[in-house]
Amino acid sequence: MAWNEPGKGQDPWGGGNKNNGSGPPDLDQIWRKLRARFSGNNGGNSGSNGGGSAGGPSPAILLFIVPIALVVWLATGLYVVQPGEKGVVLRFGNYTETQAPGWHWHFPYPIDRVYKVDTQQVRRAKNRAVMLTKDENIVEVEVAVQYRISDAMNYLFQLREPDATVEQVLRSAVREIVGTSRMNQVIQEGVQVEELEDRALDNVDLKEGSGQPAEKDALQGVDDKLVDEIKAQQNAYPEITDRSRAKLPENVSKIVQATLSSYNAGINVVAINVQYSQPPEQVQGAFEEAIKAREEEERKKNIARAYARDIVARAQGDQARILLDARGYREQKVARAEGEASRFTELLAQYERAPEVTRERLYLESMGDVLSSANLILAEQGGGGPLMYLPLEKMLNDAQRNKKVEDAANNGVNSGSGDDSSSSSSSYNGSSGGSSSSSNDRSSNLRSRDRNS
Amino acid sequence: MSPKHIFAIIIVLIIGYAALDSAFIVDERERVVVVELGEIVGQNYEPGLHFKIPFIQTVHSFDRRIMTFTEEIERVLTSENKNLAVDFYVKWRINDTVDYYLSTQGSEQRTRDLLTEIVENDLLAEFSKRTIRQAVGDDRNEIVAAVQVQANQDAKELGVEIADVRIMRLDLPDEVSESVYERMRSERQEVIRTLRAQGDAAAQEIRSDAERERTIILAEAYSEGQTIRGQGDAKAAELYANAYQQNPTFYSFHRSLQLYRDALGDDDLLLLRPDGELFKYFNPKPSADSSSR
Repeated sequence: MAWNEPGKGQDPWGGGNKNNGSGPPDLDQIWRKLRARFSGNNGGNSGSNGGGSAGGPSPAILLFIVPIALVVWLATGLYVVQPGEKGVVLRFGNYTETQAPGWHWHFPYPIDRVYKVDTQQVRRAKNRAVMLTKDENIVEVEVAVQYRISDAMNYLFQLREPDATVEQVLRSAVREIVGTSRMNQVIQEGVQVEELEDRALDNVDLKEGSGQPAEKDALQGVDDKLVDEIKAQQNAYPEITDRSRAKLPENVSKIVQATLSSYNAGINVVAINVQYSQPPEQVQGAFEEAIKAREEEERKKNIARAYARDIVARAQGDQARILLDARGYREQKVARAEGEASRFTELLAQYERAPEVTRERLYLESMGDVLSSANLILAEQGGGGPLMYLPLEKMLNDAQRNKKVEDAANNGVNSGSGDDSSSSSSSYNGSSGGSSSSSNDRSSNLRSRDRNS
Repeated sequence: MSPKHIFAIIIVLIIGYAALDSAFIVDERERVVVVELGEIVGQNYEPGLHFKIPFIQTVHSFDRRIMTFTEEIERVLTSENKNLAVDFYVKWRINDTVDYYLSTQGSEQRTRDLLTEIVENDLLAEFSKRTIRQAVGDDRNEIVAAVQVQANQDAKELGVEIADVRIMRLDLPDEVSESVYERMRSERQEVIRTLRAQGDAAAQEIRSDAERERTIILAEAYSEGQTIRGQGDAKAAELYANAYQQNPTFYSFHRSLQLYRDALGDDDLLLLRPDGELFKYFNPKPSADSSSR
């Protein structure tokens, strides 16, 4: 403890206070005594040697020594105030002046004393501690304060331990700010995870209302005058409104500065740095896991997005393909129709010139093409003719091997029913009236083929 | 050295000492009382050089500056009977040198002990009125302000002013800390689960949305495709109709022939009766000519 350490924060004079403040005179006195004794011895020696005047030093030596001693004594009054320093001069303990950097002279000890205070140097204090937040979480915070002596006189004369005081004030201020902020307003952004709710308020052990009901009016029993005093004191205190994480150093700084100013410490806070603010070691694992979970959430979303982009892009590709196919189909259909229509129109023109011949020609041509490539069986079926043996089984097997069975006659019937206007087909119909049962079977067979094709 | 010399030296020393002892310096940082035979005869000296009667009067000087002591209380009971560990510091200064000298004999250590007792007492009283929550948070300043004001009443008798009381540390007892840690962990677990569920849900939503989009795209494509095909069919039908309407009979004939040609391929087995028109010359019958006509 600083206040207990001998010498710390206590100047030599203060230390000498136990001797009723006569420390310096004591030293002075001893010195004088020595001088007196020295000169006395000297005098004695000279007396015994010279046998001259007893009880005093010889005037010649005195004349020599005294000015030299005086000069030396005066010379001890020279001092340098370094750049950035202030020299505070006390004459008999009373403040007389403050000197700027440079060479100076003061009346030597014990008349004047000079204290040099560095007002430029930035000093530092820091504090690291585990503390409670308003929502009853525990956080670990390290805060450093940089400060500078703004008023050398106050720094020297107001506080016994100004530098230790800065550290104490810092500790108190950090606790205060953290104690009135929620955890998320304290810990570093990277560590934060979005709050679910202020669920901490309903926590098991500490919630308000457990234990005895608290008397909110804590000041009762103190008389009104005191209450006023207390309130006045609180009013003098800086108000903290914005408790966000970004404002944390500023808020601490405000309180530290206000407190130091209330002591007239002569100290200016230059900066407050929050160097560390995280959940304590005991729960860091859980916090890291939460961060990981958050990243995982992002990752899942990203994978899903990639998948989404992929299938949508594919679908768009499919869409383009479908449309192109459809357009192709349309073009093809139209082109074919045009082609076929014009073919028909051309042919029709010729047909109309000579319908009979053209018709005949076309028919025979087609039949020629068809019959030339097919296997033919001609079965004459005159009325009452001898029964014809047709090895249909074998023929069908052969045909099935080729997977094609056709019946030209039945085709003729079908087409004939398609356009009854043709007289030739009507005769066809008439002639086919007595078709055999076997040919009927074949016709059904053919129809099924038609459907297939 | 003769006795005469010695006597002279002693006289000189005594006179010198008396001269020194008759003066005293009061520093800027000091407050001083002058005591004569146990009675205070001088106080409130300005900083500077002062004089007194040597030997009889003695000077007692005290620090004028603000002094500090820190103290720790291991167990402070709150209103819900929970223990807190509290560190605090007290800034104090000597206000009335006479009272201070009389009540403490100028002993800083004694003063400190007395003040500690006073402040601790008031702190305990203030804490006992509040819950941990209040003590940690918003009431902290109220506590220290109240303590300061009340402690000042007692400190006044010591000639001391308490300039400030501040709490430097306010910790939960270990078992409560552990439960807080446990709660923090469980809260994180909750967050973790929520995040995971949210992630899954969001991913699912993104996927479903994309799939929906895909379905729509394909359906629209199909619809449009069919329309286009329909247009093609319609156009073709129109073309065919226009062409074939010129002579439907011929169309039928022409188309049938085409069909035979297309439908009847190689190696098909045809069973024909030679009484069709095609074979009218193959096996001529009297009816053949008439039927063709």
